Amino acid sequence: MEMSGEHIIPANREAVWAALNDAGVLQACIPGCEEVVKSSDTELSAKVRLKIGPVKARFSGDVTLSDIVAPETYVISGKGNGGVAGFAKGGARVHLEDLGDEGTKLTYEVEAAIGGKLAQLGQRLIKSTSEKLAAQFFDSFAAQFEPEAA
Amino acid sequence: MFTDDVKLTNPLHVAFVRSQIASGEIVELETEDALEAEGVAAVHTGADVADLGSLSVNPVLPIKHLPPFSVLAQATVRGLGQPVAAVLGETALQAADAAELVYAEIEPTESSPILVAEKNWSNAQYEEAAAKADHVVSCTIQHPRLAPSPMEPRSIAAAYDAETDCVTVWHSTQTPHRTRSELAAILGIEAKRIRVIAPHVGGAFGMKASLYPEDVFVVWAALKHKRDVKWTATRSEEFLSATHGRGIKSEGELALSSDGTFLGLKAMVEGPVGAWLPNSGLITAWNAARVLPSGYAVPAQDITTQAVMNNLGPTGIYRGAGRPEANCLMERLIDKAAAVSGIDPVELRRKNLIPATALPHNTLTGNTLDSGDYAKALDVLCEAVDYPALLAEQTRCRAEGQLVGIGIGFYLEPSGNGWETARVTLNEDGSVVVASGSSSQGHGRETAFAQIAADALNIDIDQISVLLADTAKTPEGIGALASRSTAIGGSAVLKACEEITSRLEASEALPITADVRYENKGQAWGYGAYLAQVSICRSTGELSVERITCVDDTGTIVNPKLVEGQILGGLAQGLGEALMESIVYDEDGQLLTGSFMDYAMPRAADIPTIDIHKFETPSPMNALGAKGVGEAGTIGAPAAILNAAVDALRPLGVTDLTMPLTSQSLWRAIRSAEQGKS
Repeated sequence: MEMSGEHIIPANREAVWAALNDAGVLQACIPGCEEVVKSSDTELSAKVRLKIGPVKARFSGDVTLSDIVAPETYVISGKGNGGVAGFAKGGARVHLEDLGDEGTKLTYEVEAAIGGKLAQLGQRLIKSTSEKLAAQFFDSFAAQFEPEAA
Repeated sequence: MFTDDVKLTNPLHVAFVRSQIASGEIVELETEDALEAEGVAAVHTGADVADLGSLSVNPVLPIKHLPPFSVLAQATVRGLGQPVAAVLGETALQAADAAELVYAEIEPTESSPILVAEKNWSNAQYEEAAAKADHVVSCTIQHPRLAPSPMEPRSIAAAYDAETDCVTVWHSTQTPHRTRSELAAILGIEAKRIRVIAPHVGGAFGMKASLYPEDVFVVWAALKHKRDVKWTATRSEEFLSATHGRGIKSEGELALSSDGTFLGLKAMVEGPVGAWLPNSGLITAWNAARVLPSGYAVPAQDITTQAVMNNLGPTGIYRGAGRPEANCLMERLIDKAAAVSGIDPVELRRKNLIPATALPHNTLTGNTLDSGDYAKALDVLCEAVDYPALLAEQTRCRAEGQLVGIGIGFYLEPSGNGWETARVTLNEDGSVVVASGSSSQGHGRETAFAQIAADALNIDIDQISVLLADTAKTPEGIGALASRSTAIGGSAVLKACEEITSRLEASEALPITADVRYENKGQAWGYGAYLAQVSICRSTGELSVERITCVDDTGTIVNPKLVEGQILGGLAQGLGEALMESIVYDEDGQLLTGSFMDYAMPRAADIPTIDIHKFETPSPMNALGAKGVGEAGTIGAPAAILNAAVDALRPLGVTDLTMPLTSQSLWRAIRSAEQGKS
């Protein structure tokens, strides 16, 4: 499955970059995320509870950051194991463009594959579910930078 | 009663942990958490069953590489869905929950296809025939991979008897005697310690003609833990790990002269097999080649078949088992030959069918076509549908711009070879017990066998009881497969009854028991001709089967209602292949059709009006004169429907289509043909 998109984040590029490398921010923004633990600058592990179609599972997996060019771009990749529910693996190239006063444009390209019961039962829903999860992530992520409600 | 209904004493339930990837090495298999889970009695992995034996494989093709039979995967996983561990729980739910706690780390490995078996039949004349031919037509058919999907999934229940250290096994199978002998061989125990009973089998279609690794595990576990054990597959497990059918790719070339005389056939058949082979694992690739060139006289032949192992699910026989594939290739080639030669498809077939006077006929592929009048099937068909009127109507509809097609499918259906048993007892009170080594998948076998005995002994059918599918109560036999049971099993019943009659005439006192092991003289070849009339909606690609007319010569008919039931059921499955069914894997070998949400099955409303005609030419190969009919519909229907669909789109320039003929694939064919023209 392939997916891509772009979002304008109302913050400067350095702040967005820092947030993208902050385990606490990621945990708060990833839908269903129970835990993100950063073991080094480039290695994290995560636990995420997800429901895709009829398959509900808790995925745990390791995440690696590579091709890092701060504060512009990195590749985030990993594999999540959901037990009998199956597995998901893939990666995303994330790119940040400085738009000055308008904030930062974040673009991403995702490539992902699924296996096991997820593939057998959830294949037809994987794209729409992924798009929904991505939208939720970026809504939450953008909200991190919004000033406190006036 | 079905196998899952069997009440065992405090049984353990099995849940299997299956490989989620198609090919890999097991690097880690953690079972501790599962073992500590509530209600779990044991967790087993490959090491526990490493010493068990292998399932036997019917070597109908010379085997080059026999894939290993593992009850649970050893270090290597060679197929998606292969069991890697098994959990025994006090309840099915506890076992399933604990199975989730087993952690299996399987490192994916690259794999390439392996040639498992291969055979060629050639009289070395094809190239010469093709060189002097006026026309050479070619065709490639990729049959969809199909999930047999009997209503009852696989199910097995083993009751352990501590006093005798024996097991009674209820098994949803077509071949209970084979279950017993194979279990004994694989487990390395005496067959007398195993009794197998096949209760009602909710459909089987070839999918239940072999033991599965899961079945062996259940009986092994019962003997190991000295407890009752049972397992019933979920529907998801059936899509993933029960044998699939078809999936055959056949390529062919037919050479003919301008007057339509067939000169030569070249065919290349490739059949997929999975990580392990069931008993009949090579039958499909064999049949798909050796049934060529169907009932036609073709002087030059070069026919090759290969069984090739890949890492998808296992494959096996499925109602038809290579017969639909062989006939479909031949019938498509003939329609193409009709198109290029301008000869009417019916006429071209009639011209080349082996005449009745030339039967029996020995084929290059090692068969003896025993009896019948092949062209008569076409004659009866043409009369039944008023063929000239049908063609005239098609011309009229085409003039109005409608996409309408007529397709013919002539077919041959070989039925099984070999022996079957019957033990018939005539009691003092006049009642009769017929015990047969054959079994039933729900065919109404009991009715047919009772009829045969009633006629032979000249007694009322109500006096007769029929025993099937219990190794303790019936003589050892083969079972219900290869459309063999009436022809061979029924002949055994007939012979046993005849023996009783002659012993009665010799004034022997009752009760009299006759034990017969009947062996037929050879395969009885049923045949027939089907016609499908279809229309295709130009704007949506939706195909409607307007009518199907069947003509079958099934030899001597014991019970017309049961024969009709077989034709109808087979036809529904043939229509499923032609129009909607297909197992799909993605490029990583992941199964995408894991439920009935994604795998389309025909429903009652999808079945068109079916007009069935018959005539009977008794087969000289068995005492009854019966021929097989169990697979007729699955053979004749896809060829006729596929030919009709191509015929419907012929005015647009379409010459080939691939099954299943979904509205999407037809819509694409219509669009690309129209764009190609403009």
